[in-house]
Amino acid sequence: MKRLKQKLWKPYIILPMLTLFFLAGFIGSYIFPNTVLDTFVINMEEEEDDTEVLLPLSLQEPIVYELNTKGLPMRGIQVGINKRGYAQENTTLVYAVYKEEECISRNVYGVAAGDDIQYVYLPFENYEACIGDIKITFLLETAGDAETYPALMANHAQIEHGKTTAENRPEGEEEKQVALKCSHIYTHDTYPFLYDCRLLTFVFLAASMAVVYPQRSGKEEKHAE
Amino acid sequence: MQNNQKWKHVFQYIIVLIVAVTIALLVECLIFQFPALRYKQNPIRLNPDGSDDMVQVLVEDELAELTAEEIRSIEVERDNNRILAEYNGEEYVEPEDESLVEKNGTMYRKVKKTTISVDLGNPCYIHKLDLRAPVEESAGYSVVVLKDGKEINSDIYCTIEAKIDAGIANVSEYADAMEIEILSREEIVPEDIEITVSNSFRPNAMRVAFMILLLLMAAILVLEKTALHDKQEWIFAVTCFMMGSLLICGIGTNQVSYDEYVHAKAAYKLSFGTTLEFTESALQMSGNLLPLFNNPEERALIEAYENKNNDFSWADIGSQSRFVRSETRVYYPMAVGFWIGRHLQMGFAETVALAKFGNLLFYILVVFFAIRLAVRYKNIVALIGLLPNNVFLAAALSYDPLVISFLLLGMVLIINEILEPERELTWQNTLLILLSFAIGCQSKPIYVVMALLMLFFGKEKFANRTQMWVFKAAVLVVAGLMIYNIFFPTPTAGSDYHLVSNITYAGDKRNVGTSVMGQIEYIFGNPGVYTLLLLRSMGEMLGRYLLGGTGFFQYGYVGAAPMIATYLVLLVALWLVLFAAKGEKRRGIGIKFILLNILMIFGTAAIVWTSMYVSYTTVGADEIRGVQGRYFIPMFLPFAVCFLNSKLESRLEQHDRSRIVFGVMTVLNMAMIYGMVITKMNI
Repeated sequence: MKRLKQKLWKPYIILPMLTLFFLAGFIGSYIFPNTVLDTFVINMEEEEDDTEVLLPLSLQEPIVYELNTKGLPMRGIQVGINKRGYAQENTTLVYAVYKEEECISRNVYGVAAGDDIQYVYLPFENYEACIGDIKITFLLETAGDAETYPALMANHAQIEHGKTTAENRPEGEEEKQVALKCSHIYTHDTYPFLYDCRLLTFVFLAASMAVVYPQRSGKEEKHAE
Repeated sequence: MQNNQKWKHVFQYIIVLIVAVTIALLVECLIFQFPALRYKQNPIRLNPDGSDDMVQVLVEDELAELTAEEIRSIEVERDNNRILAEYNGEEYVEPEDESLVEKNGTMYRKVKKTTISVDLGNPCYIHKLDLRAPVEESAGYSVVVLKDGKEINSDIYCTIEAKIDAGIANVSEYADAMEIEILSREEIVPEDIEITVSNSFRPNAMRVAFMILLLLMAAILVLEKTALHDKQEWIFAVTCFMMGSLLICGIGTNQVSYDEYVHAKAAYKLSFGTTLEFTESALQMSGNLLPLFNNPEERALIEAYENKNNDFSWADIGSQSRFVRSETRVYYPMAVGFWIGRHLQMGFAETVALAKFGNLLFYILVVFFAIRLAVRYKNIVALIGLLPNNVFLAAALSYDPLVISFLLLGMVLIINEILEPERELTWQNTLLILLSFAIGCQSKPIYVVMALLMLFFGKEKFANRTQMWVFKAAVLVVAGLMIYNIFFPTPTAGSDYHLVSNITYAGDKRNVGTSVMGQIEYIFGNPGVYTLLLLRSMGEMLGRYLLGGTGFFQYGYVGAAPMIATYLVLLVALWLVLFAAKGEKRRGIGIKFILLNILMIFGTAAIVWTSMYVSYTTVGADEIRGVQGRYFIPMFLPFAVCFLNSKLESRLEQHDRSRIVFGVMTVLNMAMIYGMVITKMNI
């Protein structure tokens, strides 16, 4: 064991091994990228003279949010949910994504899980298909014993690429334009060790060559000359 | 015997330390504190609320002309907001600022002028003028000091910092009256103003420390003959540490280095894991909003303010990727300082100082090995390591010291190989050279062009042709990958990823009208015009630094040394490279590498200029903005070694040459520290 250790610690063994290690890291970086979330805040805060509106969720009439993903597959949406002071046990929210009237992603969220006021990330199944002009509907699938259903938070901001439609509105809000308070969530791949691995592969390759060749053949060639 | 020598040496330094401390204290107390001893008096409190007949107050409206810097910052902010709106597909509406007035093509800001006339009755020595007033935005005041009705000093200006509601001015005049003129954005109620004039006996700790270290450094140059002969790296380490420490302690949390807030933010973030905790003070540091101090009294108030706002119980919580971006790894030496300071629950100023010490120690460590490894040109490496620009940056929050030190180490190793062409390249040197460039160029990849000199190593340096070609191919690929990463960076985490990685929006956001793609198109569309602009700009800068106008040795935004310092250091450097020490065997690098070096230096300089034109300058502008002399420091060593030769020999021995080099660099740095840091911020 000790002899093997001593043999392995020779530079002409360890340097090529390190070269291969970094080469593996270089290739591995591409094969196993690190996927991260990108949060694009669309409408999260009210303008100075604006006030928040609560759009009640219901079992029949969905709240609809239409948007264009600008060519990126959308991973999910972050919305504000207000439980309106109730525990909302057994209340489940169904949020579905439609593209050209076809449902491409149907997902469920248990409202009781979070705080009374929660800004929750709702991920989409089959997110690769959620690209281009899409429509997201929010509807209650089951409602608990609470007297009042939870509501999505909105305001009166002017949003360029997002349109909110809701049939159930509080008194006085029927005719006004409302915008869902939300962030669009996308993803992209990162390669945290790619830069280092690809550089160090060549650094250690050069160092390996400086030790392996003189060790194996170079010295002998020179002596022969 | 050897033990005796060692104890004798220790005893010598104990004596030197006692003498230095005694002299420093005596000079401080008897000379610098002389006015306090001569004109003994209690602080005088003045009341501008109308109750004091000695004080008259008048408030008026006034227009204050905006400085070019203020106008530029307004333009930059508007341009960045326009780009953001354009990216978000929104219409950009330019905001209106009612406090701004345009008159005859000049921009003014509406302000309130409060004039306070003070009649002190009997003449007295005014050392400090302490003015406190609650202001929402920082205000400024000027003081005219009078004696017997005559103006004796009208050059006193001070800022009332809104964060501490105070501005303390150094007056140091024997006078009987004053006229104070305050310019503020909002009206200041006279009843809220507090003015105190004082002349207290208060020995200055920074000045005492300065004198002690100056005397210690002089003693080292006299006593350390052996080290000056063959251990110059130790002399470098000690002198650089002393001068760097003075800079760190003297500058405190004043953000006076180049883009220090950007580096401070990156290093601070790196000191955390995935959860970030930004205290109010850390947020201000990251936004370049920390208040500046000009004397110890203001410093005490500001540090108290910073400590109060460095409370982690109400810190701003954020998150970051668990993987560190490769470019930000250069901040580790500083991040360690922030981490230790936070875990030891140190004050904010002490934590910042610790981060700066991390940088300084790392710089010293790398340059230490660069000097140690240099073959027969150690002194020139030490001289470059002690250039005031380098010492200042090493004592600040900046990644430049890491860049400069590793490039210096890399170049030393390359030059060693050039100077000994018959010696084969070992794997240790191969690894060290390539790693030095890989680390040194991590945040400034364009300098990797310097490593291309290795492509011209002769075949004698390699065991066989295969090794030579693989080595040269590796150098080329490493350089190519680093340059490729400038244009196509590896994707990183962050919600601004799509904006940051979009080359259409690439360009330095500190300037108006920048666009990387736009500028590249302009250069390719007008190659002749750009070549002339490049050559003219390079020539003009060289002319400014060599023939007058701009001092090369700068301490960031604090100031620059006069031109004479540039000439003096140039003279010493030229003497060092042209003449070998007495009895020293030297050789030149040969005509081939002289030509290659000059080509490489010119090429790297041209790339530096072009990179600033592409990323930092308005598209199509007939000037190249943002290029500073410090960008060319990594090229000093390859330029200097072009003068090495085997013919000229000086009459001085190595230790005397070292004495001159370290003496000149110490005097230059200490003069700059005293003139720019001690007197401007600590007295």
